[in-house]
Amino acid sequence: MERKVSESRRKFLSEESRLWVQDGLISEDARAGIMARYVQARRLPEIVPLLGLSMIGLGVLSFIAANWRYIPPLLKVTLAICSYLGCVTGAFFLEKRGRRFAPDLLLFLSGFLLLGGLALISQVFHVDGSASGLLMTWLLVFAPTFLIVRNMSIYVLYEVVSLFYLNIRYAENQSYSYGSEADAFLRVGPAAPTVLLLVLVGAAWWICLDERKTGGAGGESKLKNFLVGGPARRIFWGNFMILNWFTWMCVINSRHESILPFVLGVLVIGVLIIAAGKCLDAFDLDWQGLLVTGAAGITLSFPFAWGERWYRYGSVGGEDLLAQTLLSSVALAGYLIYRIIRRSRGSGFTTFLFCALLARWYFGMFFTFMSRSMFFISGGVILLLITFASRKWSKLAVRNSGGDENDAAL
Amino acid sequence: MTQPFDFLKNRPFLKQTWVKYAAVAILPALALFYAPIVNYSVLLFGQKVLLETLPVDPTDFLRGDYVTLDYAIADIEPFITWEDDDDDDDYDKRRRGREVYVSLALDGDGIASVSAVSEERPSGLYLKGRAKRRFWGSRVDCDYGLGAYYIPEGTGRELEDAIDDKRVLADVRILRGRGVIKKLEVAER
Repeated sequence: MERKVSESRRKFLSEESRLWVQDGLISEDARAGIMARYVQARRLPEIVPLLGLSMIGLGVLSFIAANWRYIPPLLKVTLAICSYLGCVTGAFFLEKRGRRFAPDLLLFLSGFLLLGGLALISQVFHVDGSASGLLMTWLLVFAPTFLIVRNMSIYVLYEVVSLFYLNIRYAENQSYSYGSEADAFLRVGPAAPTVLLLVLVGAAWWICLDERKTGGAGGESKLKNFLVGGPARRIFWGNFMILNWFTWMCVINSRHESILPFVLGVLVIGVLIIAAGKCLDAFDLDWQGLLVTGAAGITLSFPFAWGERWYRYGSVGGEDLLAQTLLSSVALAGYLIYRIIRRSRGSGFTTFLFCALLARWYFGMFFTFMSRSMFFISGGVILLLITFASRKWSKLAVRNSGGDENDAAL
Repeated sequence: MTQPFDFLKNRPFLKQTWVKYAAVAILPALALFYAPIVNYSVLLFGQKVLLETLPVDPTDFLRGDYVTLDYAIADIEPFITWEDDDDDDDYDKRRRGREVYVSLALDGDGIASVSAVSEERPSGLYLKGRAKRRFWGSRVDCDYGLGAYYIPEGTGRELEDAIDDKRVLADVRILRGRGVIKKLEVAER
Protein backbone atom coordinates (compact mmCIF):
# COMPACT_ATOMS: atom_id res chain seq x y z
CA MET A 1 0.00 0.00 0.00
CA GLU A 2 1.42 3.35 -1.06
CA ARG A 3 1.38 6.46 1.06
CA LYS A 4 1.93 9.96 -0.23
CA VAL A 5 4.46 12.03 1.72
CA SER A 6 6.06 15.40 1.16
CA GLU A 7 9.29 15.80 -0.79
CA SER A 8 11.28 16.67 2.35
CA ARG A 9 9.98 13.69 4.30
CA ARG A 10 10.78 11.29 1.50
CA LYS A 11 14.25 12.76 1.13
CA PHE A 12 14.85 12.39 4.86
CA LEU A 13 13.65 8.79 4.74
CA SER A 14 15.86 8.07 1.74
CA GLU A 15 18.98 9.42 3.47
CA GLU A 16 18.21 7.72 6.76
CA SER A 17 17.43 4.36 5.17
CA ARG A 18 20.72 4.51 3.27
CA LEU A 19 22.48 4.88 6.63
CA TRP A 20 20.47 1.93 8.02
CA VAL A 21 21.70 -0.19 5.14
CA GLN A 22 25.30 0.95 5.74
CA ASP A 23 24.95 0.12 9.46
CA GLY A 24 23.58 -3.32 8.60
CA LEU A 25 20.20 -2.70 10.22
CA ILE A 26 18.25 -3.54 7.07
CA SER A 27 19.06 -5.04 3.66
CA GLU A 28 19.06 -3.10 0.36
CA ASP A 29 15.92 -4.99 -0.67
CA ALA A 30 14.18 -4.01 2.53
CA ARG A 31 15.18 -0.39 1.93
CA ALA A 32 13.76 -0.52 -1.60
CA GLY A 33 10.57 -2.04 -0.18
CA ILE A 34 10.27 0.71 2.41
CA MET A 35 10.92 3.47 -0.13
CA ALA A 36 8.34 1.97 -2.48
CA ARG A 37 5.70 2.40 0.22
CA TYR A 38 6.22 6.16 0.34
CA VAL A 39 5.39 8.07 -2.83
CA GLN A 40 6.17 11.74 -3.14
CA ALA A 41 3.02 13.82 -3.13
CA ARG A 42 4.31 16.12 -5.90
CA ARG A 43 2.60 19.08 -4.37
CA LEU A 44 5.31 21.71 -4.60
CA PRO A 45 7.11 20.74 -7.81
CA GLU A 46 3.85 20.88 -9.78
CA ILE A 47 3.24 24.45 -8.77
CA VAL A 48 5.87 26.01 -11.02
CA PRO A 49 4.78 24.32 -14.28
CA LEU A 50 1.15 24.89 -13.36
CA LEU A 51 1.86 28.54 -12.79
CA GLY A 52 3.65 28.57 -16.14
CA LEU A 53 0.72 26.93 -17.89
CA SER A 54 -1.71 29.25 -16.13
CA MET A 55 0.26 32.22 -17.43
CA ILE A 56 0.21 30.82 -20.95
CA GLY A 57 -3.53 30.33 -20.55
CA LEU A 58 -3.92 33.92 -19.35
CA GLY A 59 -1.81 35.00 -22.32
CA VAL A 60 -4.19 33.21 -24.68
CA LEU A 61 -7.17 34.86 -22.99
CA SER A 62 -5.49 38.29 -23.16
CA PHE A 63 -4.70 37.74 -26.82
CA ILE A 64 -8.34 36.92 -27.48
CA ALA A 65 -9.59 39.84 -25.43
CA ALA A 66 -7.45 42.17 -27.55
CA ASN A 67 -9.62 41.18 -30.58
CA TRP A 68 -6.72 41.50 -32.97
CA ARG A 69 -8.10 43.01 -36.15
CA TYR A 70 -5.62 41.36 -38.54
CA ILE A 71 -6.89 37.84 -37.89
CA PRO A 72 -9.82 36.89 -40.15
CA PRO A 73 -12.90 35.65 -38.24
CA LEU A 74 -12.81 32.20 -39.84
CA LEU A 75 -9.19 31.75 -38.77
CA LYS A 76 -10.10 32.84 -35.24
CA VAL A 77 -12.88 30.25 -35.07
CA THR A 78 -10.57 27.56 -36.48
CA LEU A 79 -7.88 28.50 -33.96
CA ALA A 80 -10.40 28.35 -31.11
CA ILE A 81 -11.56 24.85 -32.03
CA CYS A 82 -8.21 23.40 -33.10
CA SER A 83 -6.23 24.68 -30.13
CA TYR A 84 -8.57 22.96 -27.68
CA LEU A 85 -8.92 19.73 -29.66
CA GLY A 86 -5.16 19.71 -30.39
CA CYS A 87 -4.40 20.01 -26.70
CA VAL A 88 -6.74 17.14 -25.78
CA THR A 89 -5.42 15.01 -28.64
CA GLY A 90 -1.85 15.68 -27.49
CA ALA A 91 -2.80 14.57 -23.99
CA PHE A 92 -4.40 11.43 -25.43
CA PHE A 93 -1.27 10.40 -27.37
CA LEU A 94 1.02 11.18 -24.44
CA GLU A 95 -1.12 9.01 -22.18
CA LYS A 96 -1.07 6.23 -24.76
CA ARG A 97 2.72 6.43 -24.65
CA GLY A 98 2.61 5.91 -20.92
CA ARG A 99 3.37 9.45 -19.77
CA ARG A 100 1.71 10.21 -16.45
CA PHE A 101 2.41 13.87 -15.73
CA ALA A 102 2.23 15.63 -19.11
CA PRO A 103 -1.32 14.53 -20.14
CA ASP A 104 -2.84 16.07 -17.03
CA LEU A 105 -0.89 19.27 -17.56
CA LEU A 106 -2.15 19.47 -21.14
CA LEU A 107 -5.72 18.88 -19.97
CA PHE A 108 -5.22 21.66 -17.43
CA LEU A 109 -4.11 23.95 -20.26
CA SER A 110 -7.08 22.77 -22.34
CA GLY A 111 -9.34 24.30 -19.69
CA PHE A 112 -7.92 27.74 -20.45
CA LEU A 113 -8.03 27.10 -24.19
CA LEU A 114 -11.66 26.03 -23.96
CA LEU A 115 -12.60 29.16 -22.05
CA GLY A 116 -10.63 31.25 -24.52
CA GLY A 117 -12.22 29.42 -27.45
CA LEU A 118 -15.75 29.99 -26.17
CA ALA A 119 -14.94 33.67 -25.57
CA LEU A 120 -13.36 34.01 -29.00
CA ILE A 121 -16.33 32.47 -30.77
CA SER A 122 -18.79 34.69 -28.95
CA GLN A 123 -16.54 37.65 -29.81
CA VAL A 124 -16.43 36.76 -33.51
CA PHE A 125 -20.22 36.50 -33.75
CA HIS A 126 -20.88 39.42 -31.40
CA VAL A 127 -22.87 37.18 -29.09
CA ASP A 128 -24.47 39.39 -26.50
CA GLY A 129 -24.20 37.48 -23.27
CA SER A 130 -22.97 38.09 -19.76
CA ALA A 131 -19.51 37.05 -18.60
CA SER A 132 -21.18 34.85 -16.00
CA GLY A 133 -23.09 33.04 -18.76
CA LEU A 134 -19.83 32.31 -20.52
CA LEU A 135 -18.28 30.97 -17.32
CA MET A 136 -21.36 28.86 -16.64
CA THR A 137 -21.08 27.33 -20.10
CA TRP A 138 -17.44 26.54 -19.39
CA LEU A 139 -18.31 25.03 -15.99
CA LEU A 140 -20.88 22.76 -17.58
CA VAL A 141 -18.88 21.56 -20.58
CA PHE A 142 -15.59 21.22 -18.69
CA ALA A 143 -17.25 19.20 -15.91
CA PRO A 144 -16.59 15.82 -17.61
CA THR A 145 -12.87 16.60 -17.67
CA PHE A 146 -12.95 17.45 -14.01
CA LEU A 147 -14.96 14.31 -13.18
CA ILE A 148 -12.94 11.90 -15.27
CA VAL A 149 -9.36 13.09 -14.93
CA ARG A 150 -9.41 13.63 -11.15
CA ASN A 151 -6.35 15.78 -11.15
CA MET A 152 -5.74 18.24 -8.33
CA SER A 153 -4.71 21.10 -10.63
CA ILE A 154 -7.83 20.68 -12.77
CA TYR A 155 -9.89 20.50 -9.62
CA VAL A 156 -8.39 23.76 -8.39
CA LEU A 157 -8.92 25.43 -11.78
CA TYR A 158 -12.56 24.34 -11.74
CA GLU A 159 -13.03 25.62 -8.22
CA VAL A 160 -11.40 28.97 -8.92
CA VAL A 161 -13.48 29.51 -12.07
CA SER A 162 -16.60 28.62 -10.10
CA LEU A 163 -15.66 31.25 -7.54
CA PHE A 164 -15.12 33.78 -10.33
CA TYR A 165 -18.49 32.79 -11.71
CA LEU A 166 -20.20 33.32 -8.39
CA ASN A 167 -18.75 36.73 -7.85
CA ILE A 168 -19.28 37.96 -11.39
CA ARG A 169 -22.83 36.67 -11.30
CA TYR A 170 -23.31 38.42 -8.02
CA ALA A 171 -21.86 41.69 -9.32
CA GLU A 172 -24.17 41.49 -12.35
CA ASN A 173 -27.08 40.89 -10.04
CA GLN A 174 -26.45 44.22 -8.37
CA SER A 175 -27.71 46.02 -11.45
CA TYR A 176 -31.27 44.89 -10.86
CA SER A 177 -33.15 47.16 -8.56
CA TYR A 178 -36.06 44.98 -7.57
CA GLY A 179 -36.81 41.54 -6.23
CA SER A 180 -38.15 39.71 -3.22
CA GLU A 181 -37.33 40.52 0.39
CA ALA A 182 -34.72 37.79 0.35
CA ASP A 183 -33.12 39.46 -2.65
CA ALA A 184 -33.19 42.77 -0.85
CA PHE A 185 -31.54 41.22 2.19
CA LEU A 186 -28.74 39.82 0.09
CA ARG A 187 -28.41 42.95 -1.98
CA VAL A 188 -26.31 44.60 0.71
CA GLY A 189 -23.35 44.91 -1.61
CA PRO A 190 -20.75 42.75 -3.26
CA ALA A 191 -19.23 41.95 0.12
CA ALA A 192 -22.12 39.58 0.85
CA PRO A 193 -20.79 36.46 -0.89
CA THR A 194 -17.37 37.03 0.62
CA VAL A 195 -18.84 37.38 4.09
CA LEU A 196 -21.06 34.35 3.65
CA LEU A 197 -18.23 32.20 2.35
CA LEU A 198 -15.85 33.28 5.07
CA VAL A 199 -18.40 32.70 7.84
CA LEU A 200 -19.28 29.23 6.56
CA VAL A 201 -15.69 28.22 6.01
CA GLY A 202 -14.78 29.65 9.39
CA ALA A 203 -17.38 27.36 10.94
CA ALA A 204 -15.98 24.46 8.95
CA TRP A 205 -12.48 25.21 10.19
CA TRP A 206 -13.66 25.24 13.73
CA ILE A 207 -15.16 21.81 13.30
CA CYS A 208 -12.08 20.51 11.54
CA LEU A 209 -9.69 21.88 14.15
CA ASP A 210 -11.86 20.36 16.84
CA GLU A 211 -11.52 17.00 15.13
CA ARG A 212 -7.75 17.23 15.39
CA LYS A 213 -8.02 18.03 19.08
CA THR A 214 -10.29 15.08 19.75
CA GLY A 215 -8.28 12.71 17.61
CA GLY A 216 -10.97 11.73 15.15
CA ALA A 217 -14.06 12.51 17.15
CA GLY A 218 -14.05 9.30 19.13
CA GLY A 219 -16.50 9.25 21.97
CA GLU A 220 -18.28 12.40 20.88
CA SER A 221 -21.93 12.77 20.04
CA LYS A 222 -23.29 11.15 16.89
CA LEU A 223 -24.08 14.49 15.34
CA LYS A 224 -20.56 15.67 15.98
CA ASN A 225 -19.14 12.44 14.61
CA PHE A 226 -21.15 12.94 11.48
CA LEU A 227 -20.13 16.55 11.11
CA VAL A 228 -16.49 16.02 12.04
CA GLY A 229 -15.43 12.62 10.85
CA GLY A 230 -18.23 11.58 8.57
CA PRO A 231 -19.01 12.37 4.96
CA ALA A 232 -20.30 15.80 5.89
CA ARG A 233 -16.77 17.04 6.40
CA ARG A 234 -15.74 16.31 2.85
CA ILE A 235 -19.03 16.43 1.05
CA PHE A 236 -20.58 19.49 2.59
CA TRP A 237 -18.17 21.51 4.66
CA GLY A 238 -15.16 20.62 2.66
CA ASN A 239 -16.16 22.09 -0.63
CA PHE A 240 -16.82 25.68 -1.30
CA MET A 241 -18.43 24.89 -4.61
CA ILE A 242 -21.39 23.83 -2.52
CA LEU A 243 -21.13 27.18 -0.82
CA ASN A 244 -20.94 28.88 -4.19
CA TRP A 245 -24.01 27.06 -5.32
CA PHE A 246 -25.84 27.83 -2.11
CA THR A 247 -25.00 31.50 -2.33
CA TRP A 248 -25.95 31.64 -5.96
CA MET A 249 -29.27 29.97 -5.19
CA CYS A 250 -29.94 32.79 -2.78
CA VAL A 251 -29.27 35.58 -5.23
CA ILE A 252 -31.09 34.40 -8.33
CA ASN A 253 -34.12 36.47 -9.12
CA SER A 254 -35.14 35.38 -12.57
CA ARG A 255 -37.52 32.46 -12.93
CA HIS A 256 -36.19 31.24 -16.26
CA GLU A 257 -32.76 30.75 -14.71
CA SER A 258 -33.94 28.56 -11.85
CA ILE A 259 -33.02 25.37 -13.70
CA LEU A 260 -29.33 26.29 -13.76
CA PRO A 261 -28.64 26.16 -10.01
CA PHE A 262 -30.49 22.85 -9.91
CA VAL A 263 -28.33 21.39 -12.67
CA LEU A 264 -25.18 22.78 -11.10
CA GLY A 265 -26.23 21.51 -7.70
CA VAL A 266 -26.78 17.96 -8.94
CA LEU A 267 -23.50 18.15 -10.81
CA VAL A 268 -21.58 19.41 -7.81
CA ILE A 269 -22.96 16.81 -5.45
CA GLY A 270 -22.15 14.10 -8.00
CA VAL A 271 -18.63 15.42 -8.35
CA LEU A 272 -18.13 15.42 -4.62
CA ILE A 273 -19.43 11.92 -4.05
CA ILE A 274 -17.24 10.51 -6.78
CA ALA A 275 -14.12 12.48 -6.06
CA ALA A 276 -14.30 12.10 -2.27
CA GLY A 277 -13.31 8.49 -2.66
CA LYS A 278 -10.13 9.25 -4.56
CA CYS A 279 -8.67 12.69 -4.24
CA LEU A 280 -8.95 13.18 -0.49
CA ASP A 281 -6.49 16.02 -0.32
CA ALA A 282 -8.72 18.09 -2.52
CA PHE A 283 -11.37 17.95 0.16
CA ASP A 284 -9.08 18.78 3.01
CA LEU A 285 -10.22 21.96 4.66
CA ASP A 286 -6.65 23.22 4.71
CA TRP A 287 -7.01 23.57 0.97
CA GLN A 288 -10.56 24.75 1.04
CA GLY A 289 -9.92 27.47 3.52
CA LEU A 290 -6.88 28.63 1.68
CA LEU A 291 -8.67 28.65 -1.64
CA VAL A 292 -11.64 30.54 -0.32
CA THR A 293 -9.68 33.21 1.47
CA GLY A 294 -6.95 33.35 -1.12
CA ALA A 295 -9.15 33.49 -4.19
CA ALA A 296 -11.63 35.81 -2.51
CA GLY A 297 -8.76 37.98 -1.38
CA ILE A 298 -7.22 38.17 -4.83
CA THR A 299 -10.29 38.42 -7.01
CA LEU A 300 -12.59 40.45 -4.85
CA SER A 301 -10.06 42.57 -3.03
CA PHE A 302 -7.06 44.63 -4.09
CA PRO A 303 -8.92 45.78 -7.21
CA PHE A 304 -6.47 48.67 -7.55
CA ALA A 305 -3.73 46.09 -8.04
CA TRP A 306 -5.69 44.21 -10.68
CA GLY A 307 -6.51 47.17 -12.87
CA GLU A 308 -9.75 48.85 -13.65
CA ARG A 309 -11.21 45.87 -15.51
CA TRP A 310 -11.01 43.59 -12.53
CA TYR A 311 -12.34 46.38 -10.44
CA ARG A 312 -15.36 46.62 -12.65
CA TYR A 313 -16.14 42.95 -12.42
CA GLY A 314 -15.01 42.23 -8.91
CA SER A 315 -16.97 44.95 -7.27
CA VAL A 316 -19.17 47.92 -7.88
CA GLY A 317 -16.94 50.01 -5.64
CA GLY A 318 -17.82 52.31 -2.78
CA GLU A 319 -17.66 51.57 0.92
CA ASP A 320 -18.37 47.88 0.42
CA LEU A 321 -15.09 47.67 -1.41
CA LEU A 322 -13.16 48.89 1.61
CA ALA A 323 -15.00 46.44 3.87
CA GLN A 324 -14.35 43.42 1.67
CA THR A 325 -10.77 44.41 1.03
CA LEU A 326 -10.10 44.62 4.74
CA LEU A 327 -12.05 41.46 5.48
CA SER A 328 -10.39 39.36 2.82
CA SER A 329 -6.95 40.74 3.56
CA VAL A 330 -7.25 40.02 7.26
CA ALA A 331 -8.63 36.54 6.56
CA LEU A 332 -5.87 35.73 4.09
CA ALA A 333 -3.11 37.14 6.30
CA GLY A 334 -4.47 35.30 9.33
CA TYR A 335 -4.59 32.06 7.48
CA LEU A 336 -1.09 32.45 6.07
CA ILE A 337 0.30 33.18 9.53
CA TYR A 338 -1.53 30.15 10.87
CA ARG A 339 0.00 27.97 8.14
CA ILE A 340 3.47 29.34 8.71
CA ILE A 341 3.26 28.76 12.47
CA ARG A 342 2.03 25.21 11.99
CA ARG A 343 4.55 24.51 9.20
CA SER A 344 2.14 21.95 7.88
CA ARG A 345 0.58 20.99 4.58
CA GLY A 346 -0.72 23.74 2.41
CA SER A 347 2.28 25.98 2.79
CA GLY A 348 3.24 25.20 -0.80
CA PHE A 349 0.02 26.66 -2.04
CA THR A 350 0.49 29.64 0.26
CA THR A 351 3.81 30.27 -1.45
CA PHE A 352 2.07 29.99 -4.81
CA LEU A 353 -0.52 32.58 -3.83
CA PHE A 354 2.12 34.97 -2.57
CA CYS A 355 4.11 34.50 -5.78
CA ALA A 356 1.00 35.01 -7.91
CA LEU A 357 0.18 38.21 -6.08
CA LEU A 358 3.74 39.49 -6.34
CA ALA A 359 3.90 38.52 -10.00
CA ARG A 360 0.71 40.40 -10.69
CA TRP A 361 2.08 43.54 -9.10
CA TYR A 362 5.25 43.08 -11.10
CA PHE A 363 3.20 42.79 -14.29
CA GLY A 364 1.22 45.83 -13.32
CA MET A 365 4.45 47.82 -13.21
CA PHE A 366 6.23 46.40 -16.25
CA PHE A 367 3.75 44.97 -18.70
CA THR A 368 3.58 48.14 -20.77
CA PHE A 369 6.87 47.10 -22.41
CA MET A 370 5.11 44.46 -24.45
CA SER A 371 1.59 43.37 -25.17
CA ARG A 372 -0.16 41.75 -22.25
CA SER A 373 -0.65 38.43 -23.98
CA MET A 374 3.02 38.19 -24.95
CA PHE A 375 4.02 39.10 -21.43
CA PHE A 376 1.98 36.27 -19.94
CA ILE A 377 3.00 33.74 -22.56
CA SER A 378 6.72 34.53 -22.32
CA GLY A 379 6.51 34.40 -18.51
CA GLY A 380 4.79 31.03 -18.70
CA VAL A 381 7.35 29.66 -21.12
CA ILE A 382 10.18 30.81 -18.83
CA LEU A 383 8.58 28.99 -15.89
CA LEU A 384 8.14 25.82 -17.93
CA LEU A 385 11.77 25.98 -19.04
CA ILE A 386 12.84 26.43 -15.41
CA THR A 387 10.80 23.35 -14.46
CA PHE A 388 12.30 21.31 -17.29
CA ALA A 389 15.82 22.41 -16.44
CA SER A 390 15.42 21.83 -12.70
CA ARG A 391 14.21 18.28 -13.32
CA LYS A 392 17.12 17.56 -15.60
CA TRP A 393 19.58 19.07 -13.16
CA SER A 394 18.18 17.24 -10.15
CA LYS A 395 18.36 13.90 -11.97
CA LEU A 396 21.89 14.71 -13.12
CA ALA A 397 22.92 15.67 -9.61
CA VAL A 398 21.54 12.43 -8.19
CA ARG A 399 23.24 10.38 -10.92
CA ASN A 400 26.56 12.10 -10.26
CA SER A 401 26.27 11.41 -6.54
CA GLY A 402 25.48 7.75 -7.24
CA GLY A 403 22.01 7.96 -5.67
CA ASP A 404 18.70 6.49 -6.72
CA GLU A 405 17.07 8.72 -9.35
CA ASN A 406 13.63 7.68 -8.19
CA ASP A 407 14.39 8.91 -4.71
CA ALA A 408 14.86 12.40 -6.08
CA ALA A 409 12.03 12.21 -8.56
CA LEU A 410 10.61 15.70 -8.86
CA MET B 1 -17.69 -5.30 0.94
CA THR B 2 -19.13 -3.57 -2.08
CA GLN B 3 -19.69 0.09 -1.51
CA PRO B 4 -22.58 2.00 -3.15
CA PHE B 5 -20.31 4.08 -5.40
CA ASP B 6 -17.67 1.46 -6.19
CA PHE B 7 -18.70 1.34 -9.83
CA LEU B 8 -17.98 5.05 -10.08
CA LYS B 9 -14.64 4.76 -8.26
CA ASN B 10 -13.39 1.83 -10.32
CA ARG B 11 -14.96 3.14 -13.54
CA PRO B 12 -14.44 0.09 -15.74
CA PHE B 13 -16.12 1.98 -18.59
CA LEU B 14 -13.25 4.50 -18.62
CA LYS B 15 -10.35 2.04 -18.63
CA GLN B 16 -9.77 2.50 -22.34
CA THR B 17 -7.90 5.71 -23.06
CA TRP B 18 -9.93 6.65 -26.13
CA VAL B 19 -13.22 6.29 -24.22
CA LYS B 20 -11.87 8.49 -21.46
CA TYR B 21 -10.74 11.21 -23.87
CA ALA B 22 -13.91 11.01 -25.92
CA ALA B 23 -15.89 11.54 -22.73
CA VAL B 24 -13.66 14.48 -21.82
CA ALA B 25 -13.85 16.22 -25.19
CA ILE B 26 -17.36 15.57 -26.47
CA LEU B 27 -19.22 18.32 -24.61
CA PRO B 28 -16.56 21.01 -25.13
CA ALA B 29 -16.33 20.07 -28.82
CA LEU B 30 -20.11 20.33 -29.20
CA ALA B 31 -20.05 23.72 -27.49
CA LEU B 32 -17.19 24.90 -29.71
CA PHE B 33 -18.84 23.70 -32.93
CA TYR B 34 -22.43 24.69 -32.16
CA ALA B 35 -22.04 28.48 -32.12
CA PRO B 36 -19.99 28.76 -35.35
CA ILE B 37 -22.34 26.44 -37.27
CA VAL B 38 -25.50 28.24 -36.16
CA ASN B 39 -24.09 31.75 -36.58
CA TYR B 40 -22.42 31.11 -39.93
CA SER B 41 -25.68 29.65 -41.28
CA VAL B 42 -27.51 32.83 -40.20
CA LEU B 43 -24.83 35.00 -41.81
CA LEU B 44 -24.91 32.97 -45.03
CA PHE B 45 -28.63 32.36 -45.43
CA GLY B 46 -30.23 35.11 -43.33
CA GLN B 47 -32.08 38.15 -44.62
CA LYS B 48 -30.26 41.48 -44.36
CA VAL B 49 -31.85 44.26 -42.32
CA LEU B 50 -30.47 47.52 -40.97
CA LEU B 51 -31.25 48.46 -37.39
CA GLU B 52 -30.86 51.98 -36.10
CA THR B 53 -28.75 51.98 -32.95
CA LEU B 54 -26.87 54.08 -30.43
CA PRO B 55 -23.57 52.61 -29.20
CA VAL B 56 -21.63 53.08 -25.95
CA ASP B 57 -18.40 51.22 -25.13
CA PRO B 58 -17.74 49.09 -22.05
CA THR B 59 -15.29 46.18 -21.64
CA ASP B 60 -15.69 42.45 -21.05
CA PHE B 61 -12.74 40.89 -19.25
CA LEU B 62 -12.90 37.70 -21.33
CA ARG B 63 -13.87 39.07 -24.71
CA GLY B 64 -12.28 42.49 -24.69
CA ASP B 65 -13.72 45.83 -25.73
CA TYR B 66 -17.19 46.06 -27.19
CA VAL B 67 -19.87 48.60 -27.88
CA THR B 68 -23.26 48.17 -26.31
CA LEU B 69 -25.99 48.71 -28.87
CA ASP B 70 -29.31 50.19 -27.90
CA TYR B 71 -31.88 49.61 -30.66
CA ALA B 72 -34.89 51.66 -31.62
CA ILE B 73 -36.82 48.40 -32.17
CA ALA B 74 -36.12 47.34 -28.58
CA ASP B 75 -38.95 49.50 -27.28
CA ILE B 76 -41.98 47.21 -27.50
CA GLU B 77 -44.16 48.82 -24.85
CA PRO B 78 -46.66 50.42 -27.28
CA PHE B 79 -47.05 47.18 -29.25
CA ILE B 80 -48.07 44.66 -26.63
CA THR B 81 -50.51 44.28 -23.76
CA TRP B 82 -49.64 41.66 -21.19
CA GLU B 83 -52.60 39.63 -20.06
CA ASP B 84 -51.65 39.89 -16.37
CA ASP B 85 -50.93 43.63 -16.34
CA ASP B 86 -53.49 44.10 -13.60
CA ASP B 87 -51.46 41.99 -11.16
CA ASP B 88 -49.49 44.73 -9.44
CA ASP B 89 -47.45 42.53 -7.10
CA ASP B 90 -44.99 41.14 -9.60
CA TYR B 91 -45.84 43.39 -12.49
CA ASP B 92 -42.28 43.79 -13.75
CA LYS B 93 -41.05 40.40 -12.73
CA ARG B 94 -43.77 38.67 -14.72
CA ARG B 95 -42.86 40.58 -17.83
CA ARG B 96 -39.15 40.00 -17.58
CA GLY B 97 -37.88 36.95 -19.33
CA ARG B 98 -40.93 36.41 -21.52
CA GLU B 99 -40.23 35.30 -25.04
CA VAL B 100 -41.72 37.59 -27.68
CA TYR B 101 -41.70 37.58 -31.46
CA VAL B 102 -41.24 41.00 -33.02
CA SER B 103 -42.35 41.33 -36.65
CA LEU B 104 -40.28 43.79 -38.64
CA ALA B 105 -41.13 46.06 -41.55
CA LEU B 106 -38.43 47.50 -43.80
CA ASP B 107 -38.52 51.05 -45.19
CA GLY B 108 -37.06 52.14 -48.51
CA ASP B 109 -33.50 52.26 -47.11
CA GLY B 110 -33.78 48.76 -45.65
CA ILE B 111 -34.06 50.07 -42.10
CA ALA B 112 -36.32 47.92 -39.90
CA SER B 113 -39.06 49.04 -37.57
CA VAL B 114 -41.49 47.10 -35.38
CA SER B 115 -44.78 46.29 -37.06
CA ALA B 116 -46.25 43.87 -34.54
CA VAL B 117 -45.37 41.99 -31.37
CA SER B 118 -46.80 38.66 -30.35
CA GLU B 119 -46.11 35.70 -28.13
CA GLU B 120 -46.76 33.32 -31.03
CA ARG B 121 -44.27 32.72 -33.84
CA PRO B 122 -45.36 34.91 -36.78
CA SER B 123 -44.72 34.46 -40.49
CA GLY B 124 -42.50 36.79 -42.51
CA LEU B 125 -39.53 38.71 -41.17
CA TYR B 126 -39.31 38.63 -37.39
CA LEU B 127 -36.84 38.61 -34.50
CA LYS B 128 -37.17 36.45 -31.43
CA GLY B 129 -36.48 38.32 -28.22
CA ARG B 130 -36.97 38.32 -24.52
CA ALA B 131 -38.70 41.10 -22.60
CA LYS B 132 -36.66 42.89 -20.00
CA ARG B 133 -37.30 45.80 -17.71
CA ARG B 134 -35.64 49.14 -17.55
CA PHE B 135 -34.86 50.84 -14.27
CA TRP B 136 -36.90 53.89 -15.01
CA GLY B 137 -40.62 54.23 -15.58
CA SER B 138 -42.70 51.32 -16.79
CA ARG B 139 -41.05 51.05 -20.18
CA VAL B 140 -40.37 47.53 -21.33
CA ASP B 141 -37.72 46.78 -23.87
CA CYS B 142 -36.75 43.65 -25.66
CA ASP B 143 -33.43 41.83 -25.70
CA TYR B 144 -32.62 40.22 -29.05
CA GLY B 145 -29.13 39.06 -28.10
CA LEU B 146 -27.74 41.73 -30.40
CA GLY B 147 -26.62 44.16 -27.72
CA ALA B 148 -22.85 43.77 -28.09
CA TYR B 149 -20.46 44.51 -30.95
CA TYR B 150 -16.85 43.53 -30.21
CA ILE B 151 -14.12 45.85 -31.41
CA PRO B 152 -10.30 45.72 -31.33
CA GLU B 153 -8.85 46.73 -27.96
CA GLY B 154 -8.42 50.45 -27.50
CA THR B 155 -10.42 51.48 -30.58
CA GLY B 156 -13.52 52.60 -28.68
CA ARG B 157 -12.47 56.24 -28.86
CA GLU B 158 -11.84 55.99 -32.63
CA LEU B 159 -15.34 54.64 -33.10
CA GLU B 160 -16.79 57.28 -30.82
CA ASP B 161 -15.15 60.02 -32.91
CA ALA B 162 -16.26 58.40 -36.18
CA ILE B 163 -19.92 58.27 -35.18
CA ASP B 164 -20.08 61.75 -33.74
CA ASP B 165 -23.32 63.35 -35.05
CA LYS B 166 -23.90 60.47 -37.45
CA ARG B 167 -26.39 57.62 -37.68
CA VAL B 168 -25.10 54.20 -36.69
CA LEU B 169 -26.82 51.27 -38.37
CA ALA B 170 -26.25 47.66 -37.47
CA ASP B 171 -26.14 45.33 -40.48
CA VAL B 172 -27.94 42.29 -39.06
CA ARG B 173 -28.72 38.99 -40.78
CA ILE B 174 -31.89 37.25 -39.61
CA LEU B 175 -32.85 33.61 -40.08
CA ARG B 176 -35.90 32.08 -38.37
CA GLY B 177 -35.98 34.81 -35.74
CA ARG B 178 -32.30 34.60 -34.86
CA GLY B 179 -30.16 37.65 -35.62
CA VAL B 180 -26.39 37.93 -36.02
CA ILE B 181 -24.61 41.27 -36.40
CA LYS B 182 -22.39 41.37 -39.47
CA LYS B 183 -21.03 44.89 -39.14
CA LEU B 184 -21.80 48.44 -38.10
CA GLU B 185 -22.45 51.07 -40.75
CA VAL B 186 -22.05 54.79 -40.16
CA ALA B 187 -24.30 57.05 -42.23
CA GLU B 188 -24.87 60.80 -42.43
CA ARG B 189 -27.97 62.09 -40.67
